[in-house]
Amino acid sequence: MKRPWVREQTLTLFFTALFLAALIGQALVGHADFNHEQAAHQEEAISLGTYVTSSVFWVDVMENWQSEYLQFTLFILATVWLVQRGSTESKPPGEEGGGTAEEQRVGRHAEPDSPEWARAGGLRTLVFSNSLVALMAAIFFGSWFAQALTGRVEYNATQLDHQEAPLSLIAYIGSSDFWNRTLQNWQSEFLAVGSMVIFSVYLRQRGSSQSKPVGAPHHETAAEG
Amino acid sequence: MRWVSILLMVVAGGSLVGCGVGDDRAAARQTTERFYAAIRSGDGQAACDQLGESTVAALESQSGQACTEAVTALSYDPGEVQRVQVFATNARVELSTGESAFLSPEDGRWTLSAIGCKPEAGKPQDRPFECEAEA
Repeated sequence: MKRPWVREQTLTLFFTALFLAALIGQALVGHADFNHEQAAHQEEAISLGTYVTSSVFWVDVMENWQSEYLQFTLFILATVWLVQRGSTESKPPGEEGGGTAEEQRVGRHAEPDSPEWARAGGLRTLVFSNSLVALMAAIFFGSWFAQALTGRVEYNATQLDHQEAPLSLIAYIGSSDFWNRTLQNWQSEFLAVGSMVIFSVYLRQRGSSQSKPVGAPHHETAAEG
Repeated sequence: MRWVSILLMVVAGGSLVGCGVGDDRAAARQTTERFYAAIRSGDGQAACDQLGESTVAALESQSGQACTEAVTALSYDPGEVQRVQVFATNARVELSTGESAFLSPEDGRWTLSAIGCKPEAGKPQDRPFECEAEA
């Protein structure tokens, strides 16, 4: 019997729901925290609507998004050429590189149900072959730029509150505030990926696609349970 | 294509938020112009009406006088409004003489939180301005 569509999308739906819940929660507690600071500085409170359309909220969202998509971009690219023996996150040593056309099932090696652009050849296959990292990188650069724009507004609001001169966008991108926000996010992303790569060599989670089968040897690479 | 549209909206939204609101810039400019017009005509009450509550309180505390008397006794370097910048809940109006005024919203309008402000002489640009009065 054919499974209902929803039953085959549960992973995406679960994380979409978690994301929306966390974003709404962030808006609510962020709004309360902002107004607490406003009161401490004897300044006016703002409405939730004003807060969620402000740079104060969006810089916090964008600094997290850019680091997540940078993590994916670098991880996807790194796993083309770099390996970790025994990890579920790695190809087996010896298989570094983009693979042959036959291995990648492109062009004349495409299968009947291969995506059209995998079969087409030429520029379309080239674009499709790199589409995952292209989208991740585009979202990274877009959200990092948005972090710069909104972070500058939030930083300059604080500057003016202390009767200090605001910064131009170029000056803000070179500022310690911008790079503090950026690097505090990057370090955690790279730690998380590195942890997953090495932990998956020696530890198991039965039934997870991110783990080797419980009985798989530690040296076995790229096996998922 | 849908992801490209979402990305463009995020970037555009960030750009709009980063630029500040035109109405806020106009209101901040108007408050500052009214203040300096009142100072030029010696109208202390009209000048104090442009100040925030905390700024009035600070001015009266530092001078020992009522705001209407103290505000016209301060030293200003008035000029034409050259630039208005608004960032979230704070604004700065720069005058052609190099003096600045800082504003923040109060009861639905922009009021002055610091007046007669100039950069500290010989100090790096990241130091606070020296102001005649501030909240």
